[in-house]
Amino acid sequence: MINTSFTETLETLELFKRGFDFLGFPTSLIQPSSATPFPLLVADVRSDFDGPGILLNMAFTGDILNVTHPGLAMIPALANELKFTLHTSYAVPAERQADLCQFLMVLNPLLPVGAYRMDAEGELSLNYGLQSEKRKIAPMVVVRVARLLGFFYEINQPYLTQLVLGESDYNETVARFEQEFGKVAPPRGV
Amino acid sequence: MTNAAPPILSPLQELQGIFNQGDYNAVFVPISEESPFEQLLLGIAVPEGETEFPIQLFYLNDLSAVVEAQAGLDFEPDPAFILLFNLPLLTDVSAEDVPNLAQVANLFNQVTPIGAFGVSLKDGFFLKHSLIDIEARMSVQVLGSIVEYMTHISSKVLPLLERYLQEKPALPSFAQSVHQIFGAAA
Repeated sequence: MINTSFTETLETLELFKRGFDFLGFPTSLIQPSSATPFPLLVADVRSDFDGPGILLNMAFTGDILNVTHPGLAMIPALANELKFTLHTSYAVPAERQADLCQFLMVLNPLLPVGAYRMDAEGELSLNYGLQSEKRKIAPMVVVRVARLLGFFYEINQPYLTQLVLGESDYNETVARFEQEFGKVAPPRGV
Repeated sequence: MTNAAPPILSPLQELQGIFNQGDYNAVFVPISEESPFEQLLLGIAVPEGETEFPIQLFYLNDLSAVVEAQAGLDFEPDPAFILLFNLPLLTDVSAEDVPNLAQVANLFNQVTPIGAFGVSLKDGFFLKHSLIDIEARMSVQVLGSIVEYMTHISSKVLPLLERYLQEKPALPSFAQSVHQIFGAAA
């Protein structure tokens, strides 16, 4: 049974979904269930529809915290925050994690919104929280953030792949990145 | 008789007014030789400590315009206003410490719901957050709670960071301390 307090969230996410639909991005609105106990909007934000999908999850932090930490007093910035999570397919092996963390410190400041983060299990994700006074923000703003995250992930993906697969170390990856985008970081040890 | 037109304020000057209405001490820094783009500086004292965290705010659009002009590029201005919050925690880090601090920053990023920690030789150890400014005037409640959360989490992170640099513990045991202090919800 759906928690009736999610009715308004579902209406709001449906509004955002229409924004993605309008621009032709495949989206699904996931109803709360035992697997995901809060409403979730999932959009495929890849720019090239012949390529592999880039799935971006969107949910309200307030809904997530109400489920995971019932009764928690939330700061105003989080209550209406729309949380974007792009789970990458990378499971980073232990021996590559130090190099990856250092490369993330190069990439994160270059992102206009969001940041990469590797969790304790070595899973890499790109995350952003959009704070607002109210939940019903313009769908085009949501789509714009989603496209920004997807765009930067697509640009970063080849370099992340090289590093995670061990095809290049930190210095080599940064050197290749800088060949394409200009100088971003001093080499290790400098 | 004509009334004098009200002065036109830049978006950051308007933000200064919003912060000052909320009892924050916001100082507007106009464009000058030292500051090639407008900035707003907030000094927030943490009640339980003596540290005062200076938060720098500026529009990423203004920074991009300066960088593009210096590079001789002429892009169309971005219609989305992205407000950047920058809170430097350590200004001097050694090249030797950067790789380890990168892993420490990633650990802190696992527990902070707002912003992301980062480290570089040039900028030291910092917490940054960006906000798409979706309304002409963001509410002081939202802006204030972002600023307060950044200072709150930084007041918890700074002692851990200093301890890490002094003792250089193994990362797994340090990760355990971080998760113990912050729990699942920071």
